[in-house]
Amino acid sequence: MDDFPTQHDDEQRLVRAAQHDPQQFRPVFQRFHPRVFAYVASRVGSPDDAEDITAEVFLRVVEGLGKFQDRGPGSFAGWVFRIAYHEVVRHAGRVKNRPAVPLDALPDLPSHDLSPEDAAQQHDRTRTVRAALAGLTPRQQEMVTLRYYGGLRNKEIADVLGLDERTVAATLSRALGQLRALLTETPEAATALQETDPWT
Amino acid sequence: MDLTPPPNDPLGAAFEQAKPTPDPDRAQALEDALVARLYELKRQDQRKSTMQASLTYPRPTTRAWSGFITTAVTVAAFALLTVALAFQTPPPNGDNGGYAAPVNGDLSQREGSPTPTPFPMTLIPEQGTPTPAPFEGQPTVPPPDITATPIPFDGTALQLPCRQFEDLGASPQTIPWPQTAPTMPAPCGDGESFFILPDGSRAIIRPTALPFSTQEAARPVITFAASRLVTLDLSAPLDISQLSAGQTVVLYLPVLTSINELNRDSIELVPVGVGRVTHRNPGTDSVVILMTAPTQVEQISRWTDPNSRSLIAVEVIE
Repeated sequence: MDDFPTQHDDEQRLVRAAQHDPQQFRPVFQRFHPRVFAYVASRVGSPDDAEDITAEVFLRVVEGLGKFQDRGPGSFAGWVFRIAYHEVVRHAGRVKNRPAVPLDALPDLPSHDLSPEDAAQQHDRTRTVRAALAGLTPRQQEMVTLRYYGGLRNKEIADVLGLDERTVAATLSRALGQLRALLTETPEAATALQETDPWT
Repeated sequence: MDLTPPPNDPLGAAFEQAKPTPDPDRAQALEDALVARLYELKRQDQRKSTMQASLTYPRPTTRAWSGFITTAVTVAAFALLTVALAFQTPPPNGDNGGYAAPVNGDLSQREGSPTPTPFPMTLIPEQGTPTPAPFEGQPTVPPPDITATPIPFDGTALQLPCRQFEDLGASPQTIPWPQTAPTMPAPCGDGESFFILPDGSRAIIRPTALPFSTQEAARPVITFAASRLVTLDLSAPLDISQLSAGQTVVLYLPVLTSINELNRDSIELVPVGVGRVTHRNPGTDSVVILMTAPTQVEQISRWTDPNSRSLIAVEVIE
């Protein structure tokens, strides 16, 4: 059963509180910051750039928070990630003259508070996932990272990218199928992956 | 909201495990900064609301008219008192308003100029001009002290007092501009500002002489049009002799984030508002500028660094 409406109510309550009391922005930030950072980091690669862009995204969120109007489930997340998406695009425009780096050649982004052993495992997982992502089209990569790192639903992804929800669903479905195929090429991933995708 | 992928979504689990996480320290710093920014935006909104309320005040009722007239009479009385005080007899020679005479080798007055008189710029809002109400809990700066007789405005006073310097046994100083020596003295305490007079000289002024309220000692809440930034060429300053009673001037006030910026050839300034030079205020030897067109602060953050020092410049436009 989808708990999307319940989540929306919760999110709406948080956002309204934050619009009236700056201190109440903290829970909103804590909910969205890891997601935005993960999405941005997966798109830009450089940890420093990711931190800077994420900060810029939230600065814009704060500047516009007072005028934000809830338009139904997912509208706040959609708004936040639309800002993030545009910041990533702007960043790409700024660095377009730099030499292109293949996605799977980007440096690993360390997760903090990990033991060396966990960090090493995560390193392997990151490389595997990144290699699989690199096999997708840019549009598919965008949707997949918005889905899995941003935690967005199809409708929210459609809002962020300015697409029809059915288009997103179809594209994502193909992308996830490709991802499964790509990831199952490695033995460790093959044992982990199954054929279900309850998030669709 | 739990964003962990459902247990039967191995693809999501794989992404979750490979998910980059932000630096917690930087995240915390960002969170704090954003909350602070929200507070600042809220204050700005309150200020705008206050301004708007005063500008769109409904047609007063009889009772409101009574209050309005009382206020107007009070303001007029204050104006008359101000004018009357302004035409009192000048103080005896040597009385420079309680400010010590200049000393200090490096920073002594310029040769050939008459003994400088302390010269704080006192900006007072024009009567009837809507002034943003202070925020709750925000201290209000007392009105400028206008108690002495006018003396001819000869444009020679370049020396400004700095009370805190006096308290420390130092004295008001005149510093030729541009200042290049790295031995520039420490500025006055927080809230005290440097001013650039039209002739390029540097001045220091106490925040209590400013017409605006302050949130903190070092945080002047000033009204200005944020849309216009100008660059004042400090190597070619205006001539103070051009400044005389009756002239309309634009006041500029930038912020220095470092005292070293005083050594730059030029600096970005922001117009504070339009004012009119009314007369010289001899008791403290200040120039009284009637603010005729203050506007709303939009970029207060540009100047609210407690470590910053403000400069002001005057541009004669009429």
